[in-house]
Amino acid sequence: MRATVSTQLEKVFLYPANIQVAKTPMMISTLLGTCVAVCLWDSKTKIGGMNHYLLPLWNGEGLASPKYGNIAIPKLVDNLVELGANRKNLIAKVFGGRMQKQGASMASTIGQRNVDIARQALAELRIPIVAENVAGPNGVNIYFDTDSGKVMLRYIKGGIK
Amino acid sequence: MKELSNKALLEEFQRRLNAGEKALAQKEDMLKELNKLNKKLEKAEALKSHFISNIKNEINNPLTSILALSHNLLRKQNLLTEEAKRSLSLIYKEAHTLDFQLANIITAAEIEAGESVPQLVNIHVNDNIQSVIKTFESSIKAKLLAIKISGDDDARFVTDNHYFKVIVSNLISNAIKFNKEGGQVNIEIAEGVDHLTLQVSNTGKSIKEDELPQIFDRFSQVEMSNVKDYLGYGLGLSVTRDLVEILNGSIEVVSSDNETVFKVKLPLNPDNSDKGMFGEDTEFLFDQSY
Repeated sequence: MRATVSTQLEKVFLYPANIQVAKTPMMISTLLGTCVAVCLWDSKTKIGGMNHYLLPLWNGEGLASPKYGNIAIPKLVDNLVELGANRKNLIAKVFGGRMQKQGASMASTIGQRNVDIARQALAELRIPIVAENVAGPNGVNIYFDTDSGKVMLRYIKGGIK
Repeated sequence: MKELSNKALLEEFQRRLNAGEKALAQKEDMLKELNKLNKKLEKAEALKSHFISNIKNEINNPLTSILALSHNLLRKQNLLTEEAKRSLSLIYKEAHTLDFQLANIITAAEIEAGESVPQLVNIHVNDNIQSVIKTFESSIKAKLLAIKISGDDDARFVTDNHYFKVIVSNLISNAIKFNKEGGQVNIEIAEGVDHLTLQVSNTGKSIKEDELPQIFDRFSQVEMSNVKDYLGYGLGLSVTRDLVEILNGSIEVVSSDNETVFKVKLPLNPDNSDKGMFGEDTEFLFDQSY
């Protein structure tokens, strides 16, 4: 299916380890390799947001930043609730977590572990995952329209972290 | 050997099974407790950084005034008595220290809040390093240190100016703090094909190899003796590492007997946000609707 991006929306590129939430219509985009982005949306209030994390778990060392899935997911929910979203109306879409081809070392399973933590954390928060495109062979560009809740995705060839 | 009847064997088997189940239940309980505790800790972390990013302006504005006003007054040297001059330079110096520490705390809070968006501009490396050194002038004088900058004088690259300054401030502050009196701080700038390399070395005590990975952890300061000789709380290097990563760079540290070197590599242009960003006729292979 084809779709084109509306040009009226405010556009924001989400950097890794960041979180973006929006109350007014916004097009949030990001670029994912083994990283994972969780898009959450409240269909009633049309408040939505996205995170972009690099690693599954914060182990207590360094800063407790949304670089880690177990920090980024609850934080995204909190930020949305703070804007006025209802926790019970939230639905999730999960993207990224590219699998690397060679070997079965820890690094090659980071994508998968990032995806696992998303499923686990969202299940704990009782937020249903209504769509996902994860752990594929390619990097992806995703575009989240917080007005319609639609997420569009484009496959990228070549190396992204 | 004692013969066991089938019944006794079954009983023994049952007993062991029960003990196993009990141990498992206890383990599960403990795991639940740990999970609960973990959630609480994560929550506390979140509240803390939220609080700091909220009070950022309330702290920064008065501090900026103190810095600017004392700096202005200091320039009117001929109007001041000796005592006023001394006090004023102290006020200025202490305000600077506070400003530096606050920059770290606030940057850490921003990183933790997921609000660390780099604002990319083209900067002059040497000018920026010089301006940072200026803010540490009095500590450099107090410790009789010699500072040397070498390498590409005119290197420029695209990065976040504020983050770059925080990185450089921390490396220089570190090199001053852990240096011996009368020691040296060497700063080397090298522009590669796609990376800028910045090396900051000091002639302080060496850091043991097994302690090297810890120095980037928050709140850990490698104890070099029984008495804590050095001020600080170990936030600087963990902020530095995170900022370097945000800018798509890398940081490493090597410590030998008489020298500790921090090497930071930053891409000449870290921006990859325009890769496939909203083109004119962007087509999508995939559309996830509700």
